[in-house]
Amino acid sequence: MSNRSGLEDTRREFNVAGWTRGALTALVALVMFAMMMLTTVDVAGRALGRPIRGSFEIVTFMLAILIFCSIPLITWDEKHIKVNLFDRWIPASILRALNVLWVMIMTVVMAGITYRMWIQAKLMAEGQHITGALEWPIAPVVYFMTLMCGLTTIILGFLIWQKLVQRTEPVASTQEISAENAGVD
Amino acid sequence: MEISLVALAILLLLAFLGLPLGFAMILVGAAGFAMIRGVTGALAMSTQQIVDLSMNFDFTVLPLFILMGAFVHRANLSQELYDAANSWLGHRRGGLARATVVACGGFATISGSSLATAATMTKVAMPPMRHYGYDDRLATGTIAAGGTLGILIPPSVPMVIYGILTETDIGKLFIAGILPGVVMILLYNASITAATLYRPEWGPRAPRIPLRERWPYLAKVWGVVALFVLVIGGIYGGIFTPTEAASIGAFGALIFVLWRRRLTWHSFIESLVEAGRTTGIIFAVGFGALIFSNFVTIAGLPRDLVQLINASQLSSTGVILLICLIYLVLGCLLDSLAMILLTVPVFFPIIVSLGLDPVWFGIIVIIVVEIGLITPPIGLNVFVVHSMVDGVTLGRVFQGVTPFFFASLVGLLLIIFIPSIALLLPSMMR
Repeated sequence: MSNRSGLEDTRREFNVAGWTRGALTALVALVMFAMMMLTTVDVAGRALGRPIRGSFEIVTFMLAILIFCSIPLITWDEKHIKVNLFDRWIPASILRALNVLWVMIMTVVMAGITYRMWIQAKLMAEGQHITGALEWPIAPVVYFMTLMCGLTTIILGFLIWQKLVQRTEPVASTQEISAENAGVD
Repeated sequence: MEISLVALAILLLLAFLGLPLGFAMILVGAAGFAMIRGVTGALAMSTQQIVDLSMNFDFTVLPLFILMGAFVHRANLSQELYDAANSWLGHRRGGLARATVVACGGFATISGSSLATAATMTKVAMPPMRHYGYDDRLATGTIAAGGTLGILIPPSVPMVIYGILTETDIGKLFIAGILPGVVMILLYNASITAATLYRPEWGPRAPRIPLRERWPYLAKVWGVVALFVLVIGGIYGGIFTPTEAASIGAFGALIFVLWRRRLTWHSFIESLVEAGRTTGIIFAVGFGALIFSNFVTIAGLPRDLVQLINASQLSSTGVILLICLIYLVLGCLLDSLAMILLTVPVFFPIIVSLGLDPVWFGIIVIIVVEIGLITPPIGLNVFVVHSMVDGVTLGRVFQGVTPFFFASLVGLLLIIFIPSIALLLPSMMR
């Protein structure tokens, strides 16, 4: 975490950033744990003839919340999967310019998704889409996903500002093996 | 067909220049879709894909298996596995290396990740191999290659991703990986035999452990066996769905770490957050893959490819060999996840049109991905081992994996020509 100076500074100034990060991280941990416990208890309950009604619908909602809480976080830490193959042959100044360009493109993509997701949520709210067993409305979850996409767009905006104004070094490290990508491959 | 090939070229260019893969696929996929069906349609399709993928019960299997891996990683089970394998094999020529391969296979039964398997085994297997004067090429090469078993022997995160992309039964994919995993362990042992026949000084014998002292070592791995039987046995016996098995596996692993007093509050939270974030990372690319695959489909690439193949009059074996060749080249450039996500949407329709078994193809994809993990210039398993071992150059690790690379190729050909190695066990599932 020590090399992530930019947004850590911001945290000291506003504290909003730090709070947001903490809240999202806590939510990720909580939902992950709840997902495991709910499914396990449901299996155990089924063995005893008492499954939890509609547990799979709750778990499905949890999946959406889990994914969309972690997307702002991994965007913030610039942990999205990248192919770093040619980084070491690209001059540092060009690499830096490219990185700014990529974050700008990501901002546009994310803004587009946010906008359309919001429409989707509205449509679902109007159509009163509900889940099959528990009859829970689906729209609130999609609104939450929209909110997180919006937050990710804002974070990307911050990253552009950080790269342009503060000129922080690009984080690109070719052979970084973290616990996170150990989970992937 | 032209439009999708141009799009594919742009996508590769953007990805290779450093635009995160998920965003590159979303951008190119949506832009291409917009050229055919208009901007509104493209935006609607993209968002629909994202919402559908995020709210699909079947995909909850992914975070739960990743969580199981995160707990297992902290349970420190690798030492027992290594000791047990070593007590039976260590006194043979190249015995410590053989033990490493077998222990990797054992660890793979509870871990879905090759990098995690390689990283864990480096810690326990490297010191004894150094102690007994093993050649560093053989030692590091064995670990890097053995680590690839992590994704072939179930559970396996890449298999889950393949299953999600192609709507193939994840349980069957898991079970299909077992025998090929055993075949790979045997082949890796054969390449150790070959290497030490050629250079006996590379892998000296360790002292023989008396037979009656070996059993206690074996008994100590009961935890691994229990988890494997519970999770994979549960899937095989039709007792659990993969999602349920993953959740029970994660819970079981949690109990196990607690019981071994390996878990602090901090590492508990860390495991949960790590699993959640990894899920986010994978889904972010998954969104891109589905959006891109939608575009490629309406642009007619799979249909055109199928026609091309029919016109070429290649046999289905010929097509598979060709696809494997493409994978081997791509494996040098891309990491495993990127490879699966980029290629499976393109190749899978061909497999279906040829009437080939999706489970069998899944195992082939996993094996070529494994090979990609040990081929230069981007061989992530080699990087992991290299980063954890002092005083061995990257080049020497790559030299060390060379015999295993050929062993993997043999394994790949075996599975291509004898599909029942992969399909026998799933065909007996309930």
